[in-house]
Amino acid sequence: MVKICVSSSFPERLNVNRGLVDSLAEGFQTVLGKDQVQVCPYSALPGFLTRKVPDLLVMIGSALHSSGDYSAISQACKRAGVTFVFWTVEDPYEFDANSKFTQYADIIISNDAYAVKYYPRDQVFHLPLAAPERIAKSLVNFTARPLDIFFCGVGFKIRQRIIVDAHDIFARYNSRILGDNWAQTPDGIVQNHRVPADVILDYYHNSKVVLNIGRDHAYANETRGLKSVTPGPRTFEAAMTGCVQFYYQPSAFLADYFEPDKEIVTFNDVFELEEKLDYLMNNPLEAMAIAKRAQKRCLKDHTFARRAEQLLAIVRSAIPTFDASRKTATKIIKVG
Amino acid sequence: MPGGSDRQLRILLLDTKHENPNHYIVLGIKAALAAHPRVAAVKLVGYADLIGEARKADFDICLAVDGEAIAFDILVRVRPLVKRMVLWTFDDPYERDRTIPLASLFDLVFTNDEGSVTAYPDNTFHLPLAASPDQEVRSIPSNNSQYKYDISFIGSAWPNRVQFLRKLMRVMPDLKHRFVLHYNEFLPASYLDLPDSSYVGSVSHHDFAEISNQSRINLTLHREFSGDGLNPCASTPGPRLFEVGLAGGYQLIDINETPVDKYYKAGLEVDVFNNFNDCIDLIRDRLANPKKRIEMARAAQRHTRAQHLYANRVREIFERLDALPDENPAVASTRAPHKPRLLFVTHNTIANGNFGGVEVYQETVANELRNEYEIFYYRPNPQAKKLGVLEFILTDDRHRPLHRVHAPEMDFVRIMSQPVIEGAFSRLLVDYEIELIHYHHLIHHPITLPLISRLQGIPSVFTTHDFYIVCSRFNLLNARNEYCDIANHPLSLCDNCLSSGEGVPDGSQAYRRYLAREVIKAFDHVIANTPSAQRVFSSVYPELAEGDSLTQLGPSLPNVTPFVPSARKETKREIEGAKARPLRVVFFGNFSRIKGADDFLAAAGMLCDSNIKFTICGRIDAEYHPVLKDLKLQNVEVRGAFSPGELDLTEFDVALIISIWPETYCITLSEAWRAGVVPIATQIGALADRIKPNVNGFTVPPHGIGEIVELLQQMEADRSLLDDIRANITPDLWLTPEQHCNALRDIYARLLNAHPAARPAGGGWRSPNLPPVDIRLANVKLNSPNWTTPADVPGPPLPSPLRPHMNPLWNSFRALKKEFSDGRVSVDTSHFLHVDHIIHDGQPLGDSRLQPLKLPPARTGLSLVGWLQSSSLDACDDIRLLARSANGDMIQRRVTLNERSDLLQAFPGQACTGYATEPLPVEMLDSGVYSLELSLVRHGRRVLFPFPLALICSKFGVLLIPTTAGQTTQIQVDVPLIEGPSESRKMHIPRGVVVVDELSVKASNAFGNPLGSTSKVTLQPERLHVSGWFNRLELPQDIESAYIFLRGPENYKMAAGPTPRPDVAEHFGVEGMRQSGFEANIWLPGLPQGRYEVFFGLKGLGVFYEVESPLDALEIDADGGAALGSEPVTDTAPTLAPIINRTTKKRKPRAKPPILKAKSKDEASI
Repeated sequence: MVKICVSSSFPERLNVNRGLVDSLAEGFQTVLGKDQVQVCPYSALPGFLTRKVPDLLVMIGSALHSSGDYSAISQACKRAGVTFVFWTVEDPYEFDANSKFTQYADIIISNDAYAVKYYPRDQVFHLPLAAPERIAKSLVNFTARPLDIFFCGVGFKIRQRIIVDAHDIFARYNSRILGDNWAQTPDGIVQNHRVPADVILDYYHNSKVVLNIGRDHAYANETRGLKSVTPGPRTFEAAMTGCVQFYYQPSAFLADYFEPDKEIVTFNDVFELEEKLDYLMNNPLEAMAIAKRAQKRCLKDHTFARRAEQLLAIVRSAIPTFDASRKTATKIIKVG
Repeated sequence: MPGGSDRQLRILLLDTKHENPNHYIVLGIKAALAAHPRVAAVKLVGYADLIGEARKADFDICLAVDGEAIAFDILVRVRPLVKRMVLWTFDDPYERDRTIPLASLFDLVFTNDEGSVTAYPDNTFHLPLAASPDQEVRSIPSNNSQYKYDISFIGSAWPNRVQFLRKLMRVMPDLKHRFVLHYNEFLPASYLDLPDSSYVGSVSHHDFAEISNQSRINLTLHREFSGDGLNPCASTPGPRLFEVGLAGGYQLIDINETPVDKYYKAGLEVDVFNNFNDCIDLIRDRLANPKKRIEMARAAQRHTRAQHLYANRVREIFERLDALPDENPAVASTRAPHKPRLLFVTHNTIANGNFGGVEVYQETVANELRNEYEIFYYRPNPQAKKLGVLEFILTDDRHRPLHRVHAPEMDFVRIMSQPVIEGAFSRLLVDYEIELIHYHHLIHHPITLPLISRLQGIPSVFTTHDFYIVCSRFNLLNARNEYCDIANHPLSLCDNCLSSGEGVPDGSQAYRRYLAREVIKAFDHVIANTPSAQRVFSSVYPELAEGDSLTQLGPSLPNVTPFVPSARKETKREIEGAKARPLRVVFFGNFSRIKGADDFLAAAGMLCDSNIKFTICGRIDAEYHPVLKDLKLQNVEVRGAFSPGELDLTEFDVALIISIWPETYCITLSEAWRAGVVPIATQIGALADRIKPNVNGFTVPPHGIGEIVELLQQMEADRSLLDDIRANITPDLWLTPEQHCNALRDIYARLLNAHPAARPAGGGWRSPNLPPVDIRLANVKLNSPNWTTPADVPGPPLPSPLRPHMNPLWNSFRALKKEFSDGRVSVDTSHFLHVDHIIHDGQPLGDSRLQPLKLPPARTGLSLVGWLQSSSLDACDDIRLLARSANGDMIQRRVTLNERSDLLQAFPGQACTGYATEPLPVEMLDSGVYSLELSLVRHGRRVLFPFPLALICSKFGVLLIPTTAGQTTQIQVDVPLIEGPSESRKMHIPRGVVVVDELSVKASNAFGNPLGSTSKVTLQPERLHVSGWFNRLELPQDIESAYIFLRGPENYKMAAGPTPRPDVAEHFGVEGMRQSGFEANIWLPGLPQGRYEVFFGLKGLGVFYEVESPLDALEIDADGGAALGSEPVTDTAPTLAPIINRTTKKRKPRAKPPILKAKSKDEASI
């Protein structure tokens, strides 16, 4: 049985998305069993790899952080015969930082379906993020949910534009826009404060509609200027909790993950938003049906357990000798 | 063709633009190359691995594509490594000034722009861009209903494009459109009458192809530069033409800048237009005939597949290569034998004074190798620091300066990268044709220099004279001045040490190591002097342990050491009569803390009453001058600094070499041994490696003062101990310059052989005026240049949450249009708007209220600041600036009102209010004349207060003109209001009740402003002038004012202002008719083309009355030219006065385009 180590790609105390590590580990545990999967702190990795010798190290996260230095980890993996998979979750916003791991990881997984084509090496694959099954909620309360419209996220330009332009529409409903870098509105709809990840899930569960507005603010995307095409983790989380998502100006790639206007509602401008929103608000059962379909799709295709299966399949196809070399390595360790 | 046309080709493909958002094109070319039957291998590289890959394999062709941002310093070195160099430019003619000087580096140049071919030297051919089946191909919808959009446009928001789209939306407001306009800091904020969120942004190339495929019409609009003639026009269309074609999109192409007929058949595969009206006609027609349109899209896709794929272009490249002569002169030519150029990068040289072992060693090597290598030094100049700048000097082997590099002062212990210095270093390497670099030290340099030399493929050697690459505390002494033993501890220890010692945040060392590791990897060979140093380096950087690039080679004795060691033996007399001569102990080298100065003084103090004499030979660190003076140790002699070779060590018995840091070699030890002096040394680092305790010396723990004292006392008492040790000191313990340099020769020769043609191609190259190399090309991602402040989230700051939208009033736009079309807007000329300042692009314009001014292109636009009487605003709200043209274009900007203390002082007792408008981006204005009005709502009805200014816009620019002659004459010249369809009622007026004195078309320079006198402006916008009088006595009493109506493609009305007519009053003998005159001046530019009938009308009690018969007909032609026709006057038309000053222009000849000329830059702004 394959032994897996899952780790953050930089020190956990600085990683606001460290929940991804646990979720992915849970996914592997669902597939392989609890004993086969361990989570290791980033800074303890070199020693852990030497002592525990997993078959696979899956490092998930961002490579941008200054502490991210993957050479030593790669060396430790090589010495111990561990296959090193780096799953970046920040493509394309931090694409330029990928040079920090592209030369070290055996296999690269990118969260973005389009950025994959731009890696200057082979063995690069795409897997979208996912949502843990445990956050799936009942839709019994859907029509009685107190919030009509909810959005949480940093006020990037693209988000500021649509939120300001659609404010009059939001004002007709019980709406909340929360996050950093917002100009608060006197009516309290837009509030400038950050919400912890677990609280966001509560908001989702108490909202009929969750706005899904991508990001146009990159930290390290100068070399290729790539545009994001794949939904981020919040998309899967909102779907899993059972919300109707209104996705603003989606890429055509969205259809690979959710069926537009059946599992997820799309809009290109405030006029389309207004039309679709008004309709669904007046037809809550249709809205609930969309939310249900999205949740069903998510449970089927977008859990971390599914990603774990997909990732293992990728490893086996990319390294046909993976299972054989794993056994050999185990033997060597036992002999040693 | 290299190797003949049958050979399977190996191709190195380089994207010259490191930061290239169009890299998808390069991927398309790569795929086409890989699929070509003659290509065996294609390797896509960046600059970081270009030369490495070129050396690794025998490449036939280096195909450099894009052509922008070429890193000359690197390309010039790859030239000798491949058989053929080919350049394919993507952005000519805009970039050709930069690429033409580099053309001779290439065997063949292909330019994307046909018109640029002749600008290049021979062997340049036209090769347009193309499409890639991997990326753009889509199946074409078979049914018109399957399309998502009627029309799409995706591109940068050049003002002319925004103008075009605004106009399109005015004319065809119901089109289902998808516009994606990309803005950047250089483009003015021209906007559409839509919420920003509807169209501002960008899409991936994948989604571009999707939208193209799903749009019934894909619009292509040219980009219009400022019209200054400096920007050349492209003669070949860009890749989008082919990409949309392959995506199966029907294209409607503006051919104002670039024709497309060489690539697609107009009318069969694509449609083209060169003016707005044609475009509208085609849109209407093609939307109405989907079958034809879809068939055209299919034909274009077929044609693209057949002729406009990158596979087609690749074939053409190979054909041109086949036609070249077999021999590549650049490769065939052999360079005359020469001394390879060797550069020492170091922190200091012996010539600079204040030197140590490293400087002596460098000099020794230089002396030894001078005849075989042309040696240069590159070092910082500490003298320049006094002047507050950093200076780096390139010298020859005799330390004569050749070149100096300057930069602002900064602390390079903390700053790791500095682009100016990196770029200058890169240029030096090219200009001095450096072929090999020996890095001796990187302190006081950006540690990134080896990345620069690596990019150029120059082989390099690094000698680990200390541990600077491992830690900024290069002696590996922690905050307590103890050796940290870094090799055996985790990284967290570094965080603890650096945090407590220097206040550096956690994670900083990891960040520094990240870059230092890249630097280490950039060296081709690393020389660790001793096993302990090697252990430290390979434990921190395990990569070093992997290959054979890390070797041990201790430095040699200085070749200036004059003394030949001879067997020294204590004579019997000396042994017996030991008390007769003290034991002579030397401390030589720099007297500093890290060399054990404190421990030396402590030991000497404890032995002050013994028969042991201590001598210090070497530079004394400043902190020890007072210490030595205060201690007044009788047994310590201070001789001070010495030059290499000056010191005769044979007079000493013992040398104290008690460094508290782990020396990496210690030449001092070699010198002591060679002179027969017995060493007592600390047992760490190289000293521990080299000394066998009690055999060829003695070792003590760091700070082992007690052990030192005890050993010295033993030797003083028993001098035979010295002989015992000396007997074991043999020449194999040190290296002579010859021995060392022989080993170095081998390393150098191996590197030069392994890195052929390290010298730049062609010879005689001097760096052109192109950006130099910087470390981004090395794929190094630095969050911060300062490792002690590693930014966790680098990149641009978050946008301000208070950032205004371009079009904040979009929400009211439709309602405003409706107010106009319903005729619910009136003009009020009774309130004068005082304009204090006209601000353009943030700068106030001078006397703009009096003179016409041509407005230069601007990022922000025009705003007005002034005041008006507060009573004007009574019961008013919703105040805005309105720019309005006859063609229906309307732009709203917000207006802020403010109290102004200066007005209170200037007009005591009068209530005045200041105002300031948001900037109006004038680049977005359409051709025509725009009135500027303060728009407000009074008692529920919109009223316009005209500003005494108007904007005349043409393709030659925007002219701001005053519409009154000074502040007193109230002649309003304005844009007619668009009138609702059934606003006015017909009215029969008997002959003679209304008399028109003049009806004419006039040029605007009749307005008494200095148009044409002091200004070079020759633009003459035309106006319709109507003046006359009416007999109020014959009309209903409620008639308030006169109007002129234009009936044609659009319906307009324009208030005719009252004018004094004393002659009329006198004629009728009625004083009340003194104000019976009327006059209207109506801007004509911008009126939609067509025939208009000119009517006279009146307004009374809010009702408009229009005289039944027209005054005349007005013809506006396609170029905006205006002419009055000859309408028969019926008895219901107003009487044309008995003496009619009628200046009828019969069908004016086609107007020449207005020209805005300026002799100089200064005049241009007038």
